[in-house]
Amino acid sequence: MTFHSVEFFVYLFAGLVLFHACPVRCRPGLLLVYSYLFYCTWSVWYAVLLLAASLWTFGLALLIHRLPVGRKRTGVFALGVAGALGLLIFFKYLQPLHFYLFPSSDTGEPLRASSLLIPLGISFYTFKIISYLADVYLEKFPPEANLVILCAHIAFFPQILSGPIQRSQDFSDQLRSQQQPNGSLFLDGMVLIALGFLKKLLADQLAIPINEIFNSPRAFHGLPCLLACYLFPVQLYFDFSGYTDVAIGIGRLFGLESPCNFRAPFLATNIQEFWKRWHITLTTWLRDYVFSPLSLCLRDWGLVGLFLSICINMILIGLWHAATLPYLLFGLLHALFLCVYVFSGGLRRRMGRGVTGTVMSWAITMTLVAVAFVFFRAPSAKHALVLLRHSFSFSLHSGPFTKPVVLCALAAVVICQLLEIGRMRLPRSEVIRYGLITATLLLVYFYAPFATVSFLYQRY
Amino acid sequence: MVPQQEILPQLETLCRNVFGHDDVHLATDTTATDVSGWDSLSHVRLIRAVERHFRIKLAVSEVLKLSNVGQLANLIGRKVA
Repeated sequence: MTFHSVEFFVYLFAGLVLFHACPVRCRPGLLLVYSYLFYCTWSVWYAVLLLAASLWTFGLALLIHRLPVGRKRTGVFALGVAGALGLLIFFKYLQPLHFYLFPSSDTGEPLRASSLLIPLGISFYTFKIISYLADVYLEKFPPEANLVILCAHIAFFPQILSGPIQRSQDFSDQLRSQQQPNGSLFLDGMVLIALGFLKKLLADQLAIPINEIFNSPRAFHGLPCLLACYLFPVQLYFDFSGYTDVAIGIGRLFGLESPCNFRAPFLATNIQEFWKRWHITLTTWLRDYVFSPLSLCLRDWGLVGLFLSICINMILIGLWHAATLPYLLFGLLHALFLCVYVFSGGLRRRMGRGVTGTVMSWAITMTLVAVAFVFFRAPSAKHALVLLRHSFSFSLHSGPFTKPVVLCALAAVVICQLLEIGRMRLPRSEVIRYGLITATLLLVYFYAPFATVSFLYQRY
Repeated sequence: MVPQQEILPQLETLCRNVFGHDDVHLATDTTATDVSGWDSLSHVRLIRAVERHFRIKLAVSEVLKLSNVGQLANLIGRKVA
């Protein structure tokens, strides 16, 4: 069951009626059952795996809390992290690794151990588990005493497929302090869902020419290649932030606020700022649980330690998506950009920055982002290099891109950035809001049967 | 333990040097998000500066547990004493 299906909306509506009708103390249980039922529509066995991982996490967190500071406590924490990472590595990376190491074994015969499909949302729920265990280990907060709330957090159905990666404390505090239905929050949620689907519609329109060019870059030269390079980040933004808006919107219908994932990334004027605005819950997760411990461990190595920490962090961002060469190159390129940015700090400060400087920094940042995302999207590193090479040849023919699609996308991306930084607000008028919601429901009803493209981040 | 009041002004000076501007006013409940330029990269430089200035060594787990300036000042106070 996907978000953009009529069945999901019926399922959601029934869930909302039940959720708001039942007493507050029963809501965590209902949310848990509803989340697992949703997950079971994808795979029952993986729902069992999810439950086992949640129980394992619940038990280990209690044990970590009870043990005194020492080796045993650290060992239990390491066991918990190893278990979550092992799960992720087994399902997500074993198969690609096997084919890299033994290419001759790729005869079409599926592997016994790793031929299973990847459990949906495993990259997201294992990160929730690790952050929860780390926070308990670091005594940032006590372990969750209520098994139902912890399991509901890990399996929360709007977030299970592609995030956002919410921290346990934030979720459980909200679930505990649930009030009666808040009409304003409910309406905001509906508007956000509507916006999310509109973004998804735009992303799908952009995907048509972009897919054509990325799949056969040799057939295009000049402008279409350049447009594909610059517009793929925009397509991914509409797709992923659209999904996130839907997820946050659904959460709000249940009275639960989820963290935001995007804050006007296309207004970033340097690469560090870009990563503070793009896929925020993943980057803050990696900052808190990978970069900070690593850079602190290596702090006596000076700039070398910082360089290493940045490289490892960015490579992990790349490989988190999948263990393939293009994603590795995506991570490496961003590591290089970030290192150059960090180490040129003194020079930049001396040069100062006027309007021209800011515009130039923005243009350079967007170009670097576009170049790195070519590797993210291309089917192989070879395709990416061909596309980049062909972008430099001269041709003004726009290829498969049509003016209305490009102009619509550019106008929409500007509006979205202004909305995200609060420079523009959605009209508070309830008539307009209900109009937007009705339009979206109609859109979903008519568009869903033709929507063969799922949200891009669902594959991770 | 050296009291927070003695540590905070010194921490403020260190922050100004590390973050490269004078607009740093620390209170016990100040967090990194309240101070311009205090991000994950400058945080490591600040910890190094703190260790050098106070001639102490902070464990990684001790630093990771910190959630505001007051806790950092208390940690420094305990180590210096």
